[in-house]
Amino acid sequence: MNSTLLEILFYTFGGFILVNFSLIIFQLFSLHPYSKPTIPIIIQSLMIFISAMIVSSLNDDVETIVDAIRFSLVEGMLGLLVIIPLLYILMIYFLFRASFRKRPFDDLLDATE
Amino acid sequence: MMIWLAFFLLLVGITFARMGPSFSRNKFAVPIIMAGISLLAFNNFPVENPEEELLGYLRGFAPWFFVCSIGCFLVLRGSPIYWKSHPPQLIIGWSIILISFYLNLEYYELPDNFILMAIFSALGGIISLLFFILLVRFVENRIPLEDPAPDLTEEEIIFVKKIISANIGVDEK
Repeated sequence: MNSTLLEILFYTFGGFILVNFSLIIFQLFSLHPYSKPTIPIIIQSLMIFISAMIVSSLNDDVETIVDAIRFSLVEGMLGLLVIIPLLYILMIYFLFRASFRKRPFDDLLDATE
Repeated sequence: MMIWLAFFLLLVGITFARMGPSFSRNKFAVPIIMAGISLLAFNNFPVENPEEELLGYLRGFAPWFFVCSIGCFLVLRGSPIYWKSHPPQLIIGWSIILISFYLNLEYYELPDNFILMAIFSALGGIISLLFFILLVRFVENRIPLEDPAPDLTEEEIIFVKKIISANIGVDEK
């Protein structure tokens, strides 16, 4: 298969596995009496397993399912970390606007002081 | 293995930090996040690929990211969001953000194929998130509706009145 297409697939599966994995941990550690995480966790785990099997079949360097999950998590993390500088530029623009704006005097807020 | 333990601790810490009302988050969140960061920053364990690639990237990424995050936090606290601004925090915050720009230019380098990486990893993440929303919706829809809550008893009415009166600062009557 074309190497660019393979790269695209690895990054897509990487992002998919990483976010699924994070959501499973989120559901397990934010458990409360009204949460019903059983079905989502089982199906998400199954999806991670299927995705890892696909990655394993596409990548010759990966031998086991665990290696495929490790490889995909790294690809997903690298891909998402690359976006953060762009998000920070956007955030700094909004912080710049927030720093120097002048808000009209508010009697209500003043009364709470 | 240590990298995955650090990642796990960071996720657990962030999850804990989102639990509870905004004025009283879980008290274990910060220690767990700090433990995760320490494991990442001070690990001397032999690391193999593919984790080595990730650690190499983080070495260039972490310095500016943490400095910039501190700067943004200070700027946010100093900005006139609730009418009053705090110039010392603003000045220090913006200075720190400028330092983070220097660190970024000095130590951080974007990979060659960063557009491909960003677009398709984000796409995978978004698909996963949409899938999760559908799953939660499916599970929530299966829960039968409960009967309407019964009216408050006389004791409960008095109790609620007391709380509301105390909060708005007026006499109960």
